[in-house]
Amino acid sequence: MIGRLAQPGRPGSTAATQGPAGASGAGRIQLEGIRKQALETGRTRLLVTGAVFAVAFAVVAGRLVEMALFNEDREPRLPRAARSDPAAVGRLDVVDRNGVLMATSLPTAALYANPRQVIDADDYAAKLARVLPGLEHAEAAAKLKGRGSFVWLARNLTPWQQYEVNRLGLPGLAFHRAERRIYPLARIASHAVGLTDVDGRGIAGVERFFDETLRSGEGPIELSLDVRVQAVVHGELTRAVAEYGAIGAAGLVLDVDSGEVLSMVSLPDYDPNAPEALNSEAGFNRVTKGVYEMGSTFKLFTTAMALDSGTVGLQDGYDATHPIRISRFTINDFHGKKRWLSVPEILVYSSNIGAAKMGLDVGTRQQRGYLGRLGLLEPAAIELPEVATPLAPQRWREINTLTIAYGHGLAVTPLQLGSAVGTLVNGGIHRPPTLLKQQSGASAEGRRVISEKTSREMRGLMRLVVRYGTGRRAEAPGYLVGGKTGTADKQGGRGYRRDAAISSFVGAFPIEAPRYVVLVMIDEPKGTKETGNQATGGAVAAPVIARIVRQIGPILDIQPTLPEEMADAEKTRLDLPQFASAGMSLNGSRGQRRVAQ
Amino acid sequence: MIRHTTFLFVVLAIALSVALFAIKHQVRELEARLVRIDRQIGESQQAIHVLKAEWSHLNEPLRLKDLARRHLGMEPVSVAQMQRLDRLAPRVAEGSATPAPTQQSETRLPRISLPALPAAMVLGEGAR
Repeated sequence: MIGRLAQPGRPGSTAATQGPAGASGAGRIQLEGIRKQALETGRTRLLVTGAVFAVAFAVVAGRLVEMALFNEDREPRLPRAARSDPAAVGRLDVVDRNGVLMATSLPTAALYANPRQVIDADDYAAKLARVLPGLEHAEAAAKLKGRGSFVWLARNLTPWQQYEVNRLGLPGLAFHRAERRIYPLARIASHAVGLTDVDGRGIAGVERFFDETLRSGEGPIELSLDVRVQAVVHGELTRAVAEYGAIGAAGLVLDVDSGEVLSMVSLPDYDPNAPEALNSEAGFNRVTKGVYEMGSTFKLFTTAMALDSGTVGLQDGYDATHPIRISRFTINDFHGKKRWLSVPEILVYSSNIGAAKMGLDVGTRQQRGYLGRLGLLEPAAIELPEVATPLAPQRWREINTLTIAYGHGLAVTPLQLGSAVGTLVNGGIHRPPTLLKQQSGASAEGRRVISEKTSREMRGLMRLVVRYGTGRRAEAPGYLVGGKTGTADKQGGRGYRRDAAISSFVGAFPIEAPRYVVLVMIDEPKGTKETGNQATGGAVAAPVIARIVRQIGPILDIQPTLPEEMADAEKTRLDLPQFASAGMSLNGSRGQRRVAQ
Repeated sequence: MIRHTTFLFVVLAIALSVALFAIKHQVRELEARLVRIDRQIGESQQAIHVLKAEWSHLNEPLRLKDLARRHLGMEPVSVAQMQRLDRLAPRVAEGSATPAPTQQSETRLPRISLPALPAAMVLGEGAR
């Protein structure tokens, strides 16, 4: 219409467009103005819209360039659901100090069937029985012919078995994913690592102590155990139990500087992968849960407390000629020397009389104090639920002081004994035993129990026991071993049994600068021809120590002392000659008779 | 003139659309590949987990000890087989008449005979 107005006088134009003739010239200008305005508005609108689109495209282009050229490092974020999270298998692993797997959860499959979809039950049963060894043909066929829509067929299928069943291609079968706790090392560390029940809850050992952490914590739990050392101790103890017809044994290897337990073995034991065979005897951890009167090994503590408190010096001694009689008890020596014995000789020849007199001199209060600081009166603070409280006398009288001095009257766990001996040899600092791997190099916090000087004297005395005394068979070539034997009759009825004893040896090596404490305890050994029918600690436990030390020395990177260096080490680093002046004859003869004081 | 510009823009629009669809298709394919690879990673990690358990089981020290004894004739090392570097006899110098005194004969090393193994196995190379 506006265009038509531009041609005036055209026939057929509508009346509305025709203005008065005189005003047509003026109307044209007016209409052109309106037209121009409309055009202008239209053009403006187009321009604005065009500009907006141009800006939008410019932004898109700019972003494209930016993303393509400048953001090469950043990955686009995917929705989390797209990524599978296999690390969340559930229960955490338990590893040893070198990363060897001791307990882990593996995904297993359980096979179930829908009997309604089963085509030929007998055929299925035959094929499945071939692939799954635990499945009985008759039982499977009966299940598959059943009425329901769901029936379990087999549990704990390995991935290989799962593959084989899949390959059969039988409809109506399906798998249900489950988790199974596996202990790859089987019996070797059964007591320390522990056990889980069917529901995946820890019921013994580390599995139970750290149950919450294992369920919902971070990273594998690193134990202080060393599987290689554990295997050696386990093998040697098994051999000893078989050789001496014993009813059980306990073995312990402790790091003296950090308190870490490198090996903890208790026999009899069990296979945690087959817990059905577990009876209470096998599940009993003798190292932490069994309390025993340790016998002569306690003389180490009596000697240490006597020396440390200044009650006696190395030159002093006691008369061990006659047995001690108190009320109805008699304290006597086993193969006694029946003469005056110096302090070193009391330890080396394991004199009960001498030790009892020494303990009496120390006094009940001091004895109790030292034993408490050595950790022998309280349960050990180790990361296991099976820890026993030591049995101590309710009223600590003189008779108790006498008997505890040579190791009867106070029943402790082998772990406490080992830890206390570690305190004696490491310079006198008591560090609590631990099953968790500690930072290497850093010595753990501890409290001082005896002085550095006493510790050095004790090291020398322990070497004397192995060199000249009852611990001769604990000598391991290349590694200076020092320690103490113990043969404690077990309690039976009102008195002590004559036919059953706990034979033990607790030692440290290399004794001139001890790194590890090794403890072996054999429960009710019987003498053999090799031991001369003896079943004492020196006869049955000491040889086990020698075999263990010989094997774990190289594993633990302990430099052996060459034969030509041994005499020198004994002289300078242990100062053995000082004991010669104390009347301790270093060549095995009967020693001088000194005037009793 | 306007027609040329319009024509150019139309061509550009078509080209951009084609490019857009091509890129979108590529991105979809890559995403699908990513998801597939993620799943494969998950399966591989599970397989590694199972294999680690088997490895630990096969490395059980008493089993290795038995195998080493039976097939390689190895025994636990004894102290007699160890010596320190600074204690070894010094090497005989070239052209010198008398050899240096040897170590004391007390430390007799036990006779060790290696079984006839291929060189690769002795050096620790080769497939495990």
